[in-house]
Parts: sequence; C-alpha cells; structure tokens
Amino acid sequence: MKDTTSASETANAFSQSTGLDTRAGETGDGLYVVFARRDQPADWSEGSLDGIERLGKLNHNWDSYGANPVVAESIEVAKLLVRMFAQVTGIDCPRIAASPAGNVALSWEWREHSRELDLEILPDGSLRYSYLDERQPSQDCEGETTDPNLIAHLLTKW
Amino acid sequence: MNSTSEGIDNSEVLLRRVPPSADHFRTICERGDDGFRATSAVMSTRQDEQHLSCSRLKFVSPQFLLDDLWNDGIDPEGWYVCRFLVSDVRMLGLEIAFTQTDRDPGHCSITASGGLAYPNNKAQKLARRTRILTEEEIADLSPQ
Repeated sequence: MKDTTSASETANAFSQSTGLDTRAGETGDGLYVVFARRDQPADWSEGSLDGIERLGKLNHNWDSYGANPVVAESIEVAKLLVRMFAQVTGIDCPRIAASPAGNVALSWEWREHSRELDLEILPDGSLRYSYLDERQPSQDCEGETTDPNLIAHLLTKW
Repeated sequence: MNSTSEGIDNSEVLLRRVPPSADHFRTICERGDDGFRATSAVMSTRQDEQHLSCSRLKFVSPQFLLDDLWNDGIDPEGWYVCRFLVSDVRMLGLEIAFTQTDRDPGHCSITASGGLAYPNNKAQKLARRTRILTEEEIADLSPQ
C-alpha cells in the first residue's frame, strides 16, 4: 500500500518552498523575464492531472525490463508542478510518461521537433531536467534543481 | 551471461520493446521527418540498473521479442518495437556488449564508456535516433 501521508507531506513541503516567481528577474543571458499569467489555468491542465494520477496504476515491470511502479510522492509533486505551469502563458501540454525508476516523467517538444525538454520528478521534489536544442547545441543543458522557475524559463524560451 | 563487444558492426540494427502508448502514458512520439520514435523515458534505466537492454536483429526478430512477453505473462497486443543502430549508440560515447541470455540469444547491454552504468542523460539523444517499426516491418523482419 502506498504511503499517501508521506506523499502529501512531500507535496506540501514542495509547494511551501517553491513557486513561480511573479517578479521580473535577470537570467544568465542578461534578459529580464516575467512569466505572463493566464486568466485561467490552461485547458489541458485537468487532463494532464488526471493522466499523472493514472500513472499510479502501472504495475511492476510495466516496460518488460523490470521498471518500478510510480511512487506516490513523485505523482503529488508532478501534479503541483503541472498546476503551476498551467497558469503560465506559453507553456503547452506536457507529454506524460513514467521513468523505469518509478518517477513521473514530463516532456515538451517544440513544434519543429528540434527542441525538447525532459523532466523527471524525483520523490524528494527534485527536478532532473535535460534540454536539447538541435539547431543551437550550445543551448543544451541538463541538471537537477528544486526551482520550477528554471524549468518555466526553459519552456518559455523563444 | 557471457559478454563481448567484438564483432558488433556499426551498421547492425538493435531492437528494444516499447510498451503501449496512451494519452496519459506516452511511450512513443512523432519523429521530425516521418513515423514515430520512442520517448526518452522508455530508453532510460532504473537507478539500480547498470545497463540498457536491447537485442541484435542479427539474432532475433521483432516478433520474437513481442512473443517473449508471454513469458512474463504480458499480452503483446499494442506493444511496439523500436530500432536503432549500433553506430547511434557509439556516436553518443556509449559502449555495447553482447550479453546473450537463455531467453534472448540476441541480448545486448548498453553502458557508459568503460562498462560503467548507463547514463540516463544520454536517453534523450538515443531516443531521438530510434524509430518505431511498423506492423509490416514486425511481420517481415527476420534475423539478418
């Protein structure tokens, strides 16, 4: 049985310690950015939240190579993130998947297929990301963060 | 499990099973040019796993890989098989070893250089080099 208390505690800790910055800020390349807010959450948010919840039904070995079931903590943090991103103009519906480690995996691919951002949500609320830009490989980056602003910034890059 | 990387030509085709895809659980996505590819997630490994498993088309067919799912009590309906090349693996600085098993005579293990654990940060680039086989290809392809 999943430890839902632990999952909600992780989610609460994540929501209290993080949030999208409403102020303008300086990015590494010297630009000031503000995340433009939608009047209402994007229409894709409910479907995404439902999809993330359903990842909890995956059984052990769902990939036939020994993958783990998705842990409740990762699901709860992923839902919080999606709620945050659904309020930002310019962030589209993520592809929802699971990683064999048992974490929620979200990804976004730009329409021309040359750029992609992968995000794995770890049970402790850390976000492991990998951004790939085939047209500008110098922009490629990867790492681990607890700051959703960094992810939102990557997703709203032109 | 014997292991050797000798004799695996760069032009050899590698195969890996991909679970059924759904809106809430995307295992495949469109390729830039044509067809579909595997998503990064299904080209990743568990944290306690040393290698990414795949199979050599030289030894096993895609249909064999799907039929093998029955051994785990899994109905292969809706499952896919993706293909990629040995050169795709090596181009990313990864190594491939031939690690036959009783169940999979074409089994290979992809690791980081020096046989170190497969780095999941390469999964994104490897996934973009895959292509999902069509039903016709699955029916027609046999060990080469």
